[in-house]
Parts: sequence; C-alpha cells; structure tokens
Amino acid sequence: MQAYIQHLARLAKLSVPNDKLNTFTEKMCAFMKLAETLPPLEMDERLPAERMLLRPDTVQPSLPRESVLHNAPKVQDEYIAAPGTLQD
Amino acid sequence: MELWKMSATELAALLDTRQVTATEVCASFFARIDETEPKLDAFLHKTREAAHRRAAEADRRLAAGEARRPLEGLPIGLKDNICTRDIPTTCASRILEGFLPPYSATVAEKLDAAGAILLGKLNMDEFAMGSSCENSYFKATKNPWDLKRVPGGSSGGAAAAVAAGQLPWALGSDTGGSVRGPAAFCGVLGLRPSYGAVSRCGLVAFASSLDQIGPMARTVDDLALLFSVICGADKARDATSCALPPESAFDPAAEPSVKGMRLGLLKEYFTAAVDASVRGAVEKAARHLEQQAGAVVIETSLPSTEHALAAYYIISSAEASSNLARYDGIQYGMAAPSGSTDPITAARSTGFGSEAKRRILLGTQVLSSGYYETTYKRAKLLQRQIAAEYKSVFEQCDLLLTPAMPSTAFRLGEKLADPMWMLQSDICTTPASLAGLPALSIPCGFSAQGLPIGMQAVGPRFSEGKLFMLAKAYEALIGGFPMQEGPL
Amino acid sequence: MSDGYETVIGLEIHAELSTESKIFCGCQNAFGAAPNTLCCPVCTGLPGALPVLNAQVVEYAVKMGLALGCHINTLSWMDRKHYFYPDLPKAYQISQNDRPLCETGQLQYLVGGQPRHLGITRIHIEEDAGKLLHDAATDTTLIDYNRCGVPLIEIVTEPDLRSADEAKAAMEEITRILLALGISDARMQEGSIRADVNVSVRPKGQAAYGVRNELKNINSFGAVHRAIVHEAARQRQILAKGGVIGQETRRWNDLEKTSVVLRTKEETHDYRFFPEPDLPPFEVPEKTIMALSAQIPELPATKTLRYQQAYALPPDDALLLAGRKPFADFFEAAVALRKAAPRQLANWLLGDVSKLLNEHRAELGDTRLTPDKLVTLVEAIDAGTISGTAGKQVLEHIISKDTSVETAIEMLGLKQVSDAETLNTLVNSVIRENPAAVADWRAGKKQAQGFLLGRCIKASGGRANPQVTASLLRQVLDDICE
Ligand SMILES: [Mg+2]
Ligand SMILES: [Zn+2]
Repeated sequence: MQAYIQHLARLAKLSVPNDKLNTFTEKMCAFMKLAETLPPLEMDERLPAERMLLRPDTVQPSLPRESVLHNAPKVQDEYIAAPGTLQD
Repeated sequence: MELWKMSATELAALLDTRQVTATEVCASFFARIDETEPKLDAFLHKTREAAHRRAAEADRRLAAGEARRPLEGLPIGLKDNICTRDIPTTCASRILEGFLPPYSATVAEKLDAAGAILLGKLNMDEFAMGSSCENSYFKATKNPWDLKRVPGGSSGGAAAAVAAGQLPWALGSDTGGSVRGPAAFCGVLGLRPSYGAVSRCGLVAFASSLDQIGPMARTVDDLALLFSVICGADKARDATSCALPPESAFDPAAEPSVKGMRLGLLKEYFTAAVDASVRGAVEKAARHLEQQAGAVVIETSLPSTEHALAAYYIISSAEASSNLARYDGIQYGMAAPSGSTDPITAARSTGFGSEAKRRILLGTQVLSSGYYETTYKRAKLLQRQIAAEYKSVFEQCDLLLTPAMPSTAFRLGEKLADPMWMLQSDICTTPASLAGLPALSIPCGFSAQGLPIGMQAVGPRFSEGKLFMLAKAYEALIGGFPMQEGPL
Repeated sequence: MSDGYETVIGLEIHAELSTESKIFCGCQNAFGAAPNTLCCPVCTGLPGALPVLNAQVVEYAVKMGLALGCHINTLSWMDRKHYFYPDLPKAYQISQNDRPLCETGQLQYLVGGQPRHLGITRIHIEEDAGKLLHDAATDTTLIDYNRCGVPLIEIVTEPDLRSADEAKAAMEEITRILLALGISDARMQEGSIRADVNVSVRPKGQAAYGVRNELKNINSFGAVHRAIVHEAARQRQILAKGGVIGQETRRWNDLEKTSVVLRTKEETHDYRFFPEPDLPPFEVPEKTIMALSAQIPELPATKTLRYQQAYALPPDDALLLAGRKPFADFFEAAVALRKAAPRQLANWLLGDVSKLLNEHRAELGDTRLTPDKLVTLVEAIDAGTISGTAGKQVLEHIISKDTSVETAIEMLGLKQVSDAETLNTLVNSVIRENPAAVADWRAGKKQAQGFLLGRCIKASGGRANPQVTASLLRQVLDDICE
C-alpha cells in the first residue's frame, strides 16, 4: 500500500514524506473502504438532459502582458520562466 | 442601535432615507471588526482603504440625489476562493500566497455593479476542503458563540463574521456542505443555490460539478436580496450556469406562509448518526411549523442516502485532483524552493497542506486506470440514482427538512486526527449537493451548551423562492434569529 | 523492401483550425504575435476561469469529418487529459476521449496518380499547448502562452499505410483537404499541422501487427518520410538480429536523422481521462450537419483524378492544380471558355504564372490575370500573332496591369512579323553583319544556322515569326552557297 501511495504521489507530482506515510496510508485506506461500499448500479448510461450552448467565434480583448506575467515567481524578458530542469 | 447590529435591509432603508451615510455604516462595521477580529480570526485580508473610498463615492452619489443601487453602501465580505481583481485571493493555501487575480469573479462584478462595499476576504479551509476551518494555512477561525470551538467549514470565516456582526452578510461556497455546515455551527442562514443558479466564473474550483457560491446572512430578507443580486445565467463565462425560471423568484413584500406546505422529514437522518440534541431541535421546529403555521409534516425516505457520502468523496476528490493539478509554482503562487531537482513536485509538496494532498492522492487513484470503472463511474451512477430518488420524494412533499449538521460545533483540534469523523460530518449535506438541489441551513435554536443548531431545508431544483418562504415563516414564528452581539 | 517484412503505419495528425478566436476564450487565434500578448485567465488556466466552447471549432471539425466520410456524433462532449508539462497551464488538456465528434471515415489519396484508401478512426477537437523556448545560458525554460487554447483537430488514422511514400502522400492530401475546406492554414513550418507517426514491422503474410513505436515531433512532410524510413529500418535491424521491439514513444530529430526514447511502455502516461465537468455535453443538430455537408467541395484527390481523365493532364500536373483551390478554380474557368487546350493552360499556370507569383510573393487572386486573359494569350500564340517568348512578356504585363492582351501586345510592340518582305531585309542584313557564321555554315557547321536565326529574332526585338524567318534564312543561305 505504501508503495502504491508513492506511485500515486508521483502521478500527482507530490512527495509524501516518510514520517507522514503511515498516517496517509491509514487515512487513504479508510477512504477506500468507504468507496468500496458503493453498490454497482444497473442503470443505463443516459446523460444529463442539459445541453451546452456554444459561444460565437468572436474575438475579445486579451490581458495586457504585464498582467499575464505579474504573478509569476520568475520572469525573463517577455516570458514566464521555469527552472531548466523540468521532467516530462 | 449600533449600525453593525442591523441587517442589510434595515441599513438600506436608513441609507435610502439619508438617515445614515455609507461612510458611517462602513466605519461601524470596521469598528466591530477591529474589536472582535483579534479573537475571531475571520478575515484573511481586509480592504479598508478601498472600502472607505467606495463609501465616500456612494455618499457623493446619494448626496447628489442619484438613485441608490440595490446594494449601494452595504458592506460585504467574500470567501477567499472568490477571485477579486488585484486583491489577494489565496484559498487559504500557501501555494496561492500573494496571488493577485487579474480579473474578478462574476459575483464580485455583480456586487460591484450593485454598489456593495467589499470589506475583505474571509478565511476558509484550504481550497474549501474541510468542515472546521482548521485546514487554513494561515489561521483557524473561531466560533463566535464559543471561541474554543470551530466555526465549521469550509466557509468558516464567512459564517463567523456574519454571526458576530463583523458583516451583515457574506458569500461563501458550498461543494458538499461548506455554506450550510458553518451556517449551522454559527447560527446564521446559509443557502446552497441550485447548481448553475450562480455563475462559478472566478470561484477557484474544488469540485467543478458540485461547487456553488452561496449567500450567508442573519435575516431571510437579506439572504433573498443577496441571492437575487448574484444569481442568473452567465453563458459567456460559465457554460454550466443557467437562467432561473420565474417561479424561483421571491417577493419580500409578500406575507410569508407555509399553510398547506408539505414538509418531508427524511427518516435516514433521525438515527443515532445524528446527535439527539440536533434531532430534537429539528423535530421541534417541524412541529412548530405544523402546529403554528399550518404546514403538513410527513415522514419520508431517500434510500440511497447511506451511499451519498462515498459517492461525494469519490467525485469531489477526482475533480479536485484535476483542478489542483495546475498549481505548480511556475505561473503564479508560491515558487519552488531554489535548486530543486523536480521544481513542480517541490512546489506542490511544500505549497499544499495535508488535507489537500490527501484528496489529490485519492482523486488521482479514483481516476487512474484500474479504479475508474469501480469508483468514479459507479459514483456518477449513484449520483443519478439519488437525483431520481429526490424527484420521486418531491412528488409527495414540497420541501424536505433534515438536520444541517449531525452535531453542534466541536472543539478546535478535537476532530483533526479523525478524518473519518470529518467525513461523517457531511452526511446531511452531501445528498443535495450531488443532486444539484438548492438547500438552506436555517438556525433552529441552541443546544444545552448554548451552541447553535441548524436545520436544512431542501427543495427541487430552482425552488429557492419556496425555501425563502419557509425560512421567513419560521423566522416570523420564532421572532428572528439571534446574533452574537457580545464583546467576544 | 523485399526482405520478407512489411511496414505498418498509422498517423495522428494535429491541425490548428483557422478560427478568429481560441477554442475556449475570446483571445485572438493568430500566429506570430509578441510573446504572451494573446492570453487571458481562461487560456492561461488561472484559478476560477472556465472554458466556453467556440461553435466555429465544432463546425470546422464536423466539416473535416464530412469531407472524410465520417459518422458525426450528434451528441458529443469534452474530456480532460492529464499530464504535467509547463506548456500546459492547467496540467490537463481539454480534449475528447469517449465521444469524439467524428468517427470511422476514409481518406482517398493518390500515389503516382493511382487512388489509395486510408481508414480514419476518429477526428476530435482539443486545445493546443503553449510554446517553450530553452535558454541554455540561464538553463531556463521560457514560456509563451499565446498558442495555449488555439483550436486543434486531431485526426487518427487506421494502421493502413504500408510505406513512407504512402504516409507522406496521405499527409499531403489531408493538408490539401484542410486548405480546400478553408478550415486551417496547414502551414507545417509554422507548426500549424503536425504528426505523430506509429510504426510497426511484421513478417509479410502475418495477420497480427508487430509492436508499434510512436514517433513524436514531426514537423514536415519530408520529415514524416525520413522518420518512417529510419524507424522501419531500425525495427527491421532489431528483428533481423533476433531481437524484440520494445513499445516506446520516441522523439524524432530531423537534423540528426535519429530518434531517441521518450518513454518506454512501463512509463506510459496514465492520462486519467474523465468528462470535463465545466462543459456539459453538446449537440450538433442533424440540420446543421446537413447544411455543412452541402458546403463540402469536391476534394483535391477526386479533382485530380477528374483532371487526369477529362483533360488528359499528367498526374503530377493534375495534382498540383487540384491541390490549390485558386489554381483549380482559375483552371476550370479557363477551360470552360473552351478556346484553348487544357494542357497548355495547365502548363502556363504551373509554369510561368507560378514563377511570376513566386517572384512577386503574390497569390493568384491578388493579380489582374483572369481566365479570359490567359485563354486569349494562349490563343494569340497559337494563331502566330505573337511568339511564345513574347507571350511571356505579355503575361508579365497583364498580370500586374489592368490591360487586355491585345492592348499589351500593341503597347509592347510584340505583334509577330510574318511579312516576307520585311523579314527578307532583316535576314540579309544579319547575314551581312555575320560573315564568320556564314563561313562556318559553308564549312558544314550546321549549328551556325541556329545562331543566325537567333540573331534575326533578336534584331527584330523578338517579333520575327521564327518559322517564317527560319525558312527565309535557309533560302538565303542556300542561295549564297550556290
Ligand atoms: Mg491529441
Ligand atoms: Zn484567452
């Protein structure tokens, strides 16, 4: 289970510190036990009746670049900068 | 009477007749905030200067004889997951510390256009995940009725502020009960609107298919007025929003009546899962409405109630894991500690609190191949099953009455170590969330320890008007809902 | 390759749609703007911002589906596809998984003038990601979000292709269709059309497919070809040595002509698809499908075959004309005037007209050339009114000026001279002025006659009728010798 939680953590790009692993595992197990109580239902997979309206293809103003860059911890020239060592 | 003790509707009347100025109103509320906030911790950010500027502006307009807009001169607070342009919006999370949205939520724009004056942003559980407000990265808000107790969550700051008179009203958000729960714990009214009734544009997403912004207030007229300002279709910015049908409208001038209204008591909630004091209070309120106001009380049942919690946690965690994937410390929010080999993981691991992390992991599992079919898909089917059951229940009765929370407010720290209890605390509120139905938490007395108790009224989709009608009749019956006027 | 193996290829083609605005927001959909200037809370995935689907994107995708004979799902929805990468601001792409707009169609394309068929599995709509630049000096990735939210269609084909030539031809045909429908600029060099290629190899005659590898990052038709040739050879080599192909995602490097492993099977993404909760299902009414279907033009491959059969054009010429809508329309209008031979018109269009357009960086529609003028020009040459060389001068004139062919010939003084008396004088004077060439001719060097003819034409300013002048020259030379 702990290895599985580490796998999920990798998928979600989170690290779970080893000292928290036990409580995490415990709580996750409690949740999964709850999830397993869900009965399988025999229902046809009809979709909700609501249908979405689509938007007309018209251009609206964009944000000024300062606003786009404003919140970024790191900016270089006209770009948002991310550390070079990014993993796929 | 001091201005901060008044309802928004009362203040509006005083402003209309020019007996008070918006500046005086603002000053009174800030005085109350300054007096109580050191003990209450309801605010994450106050917008004092901007509020005074706006109040002065309103006064100029009113002095010039211009018509008062519906909320002009009236103070309000917003839960900190509602985006406000150039005003910090953090969701009480470290990962959004310092974030200044370049745009405002539709509800914030509507309040602005109606002339309301924002006093600040209110504390919450991080990303609205929790039932106690203790999951805030910044601070834990206290319950104004007992400062050693939680205000409920996740809209705990909003509920505490309204109950203590820091604000006449506020906006929270409700995913699985985050407006109704704290409203019950703090003794105020809290509405979870029908899904789609209020635009989610600018509400930082927790679980997109369940999230709704909802008003909290101390009087039904205030609640209905605030709702009327924020509701409505917003098709250009939220594809899930929709226009309300005319029958959902509420006429504040009409005499409130529940004569002949069929109120269903759901038997699933009158069991040991709910504290006896809470059950007793709700039953008493129902009897009261029956005997004194002519309502018809019927016992009824919603069989899938027992599975609602599991379905709710599966769906909300799945959507949360997806919605929270964007926080990576690159574009906004907290940067990764420098020199990290994997900056995204580093930023997320330090930026999110435990509850958020746990739900992200749960959601990741639920959506991963191998689990999707037996968890997520099953939960979505159950959601439809519950909606269908509600539909048939509403053939027998007009509205349902249940407890809003299974207990009264608990002590700070008391339940932190027990996540299953925390889950259980949502049993009364999650079914209506799943079915997209409007639900209103109405104060219905106090426990022996003097803690507020809330009952929940649930109606068919877009029956907000009927919910207000019931609440107003009850309000009249008991002579109004008390607020915490003490010095704290 | 006749080594007993067969290559099996399928394509996943991403094409940017040329809508006015992006797929989920009102930001302008444009290429080449200054970095991070076409962005808003929606396309940069800011907290709280919600997508709203652009109707034009759906129409364009349905058009492509109809052009490829797909079944159109009248009820469709969007799904979220999750992966972390800094060019994807929400860490999920809004795409379609369970219910794509279009399914099960067929592409007809041509190889060497012969029709082939490629099964289309599905076409779905999705959003494009941003652009990353790597700054080596600071070891920093620079992000430009302008491309985020540009609408894409992804066309997934069946593994029906058996060679790099077929893959390249199919890809080119899809590009031509996108252009013919007017739904994409389909400019590979701008990255507005890109392909992932799935390649596997199996012994000939074996029914089961081999283990496939996916090649990503292919940005030109040439690269599609090179990558497939390289990958097929690589897999054959492994198999020939008795090795086993691992299921991999590889990145093709077209400069170095190599591919490197991006992910192995064990590392494949778990995309955790689920229906996009911010966008309810949407409908494409039957009536809309009917209306769009009426707008689908004759497709380039069909047109090419028709040109080959009806006008006896060589396959390459037919394809070149049919593949460019303005040319095809111009050609058909000219042919409809029924005055000049289709073959000649095609030659003019693909030869001199194209050359002039390239020189002026102009489109056919920007010029003053009309089908009527081109026909008149070709007829003037046929009738001997002007020479072929003069015809080119006339073309240069009428392509940019609003004058008739006749006026141009007049103005440029290009009317051909066939009058024997005038030409005789001309020939005699050339012979007088070039005694050395005449001596050569006498000495049996027959090419001297060509030289002298050239002199005559030149001396006439290109106007001397070459046939008449040649026979007169021959006569005069013969006379001199006798
Ligand atoms: Mg794709
Ligand atoms: Zn945008």
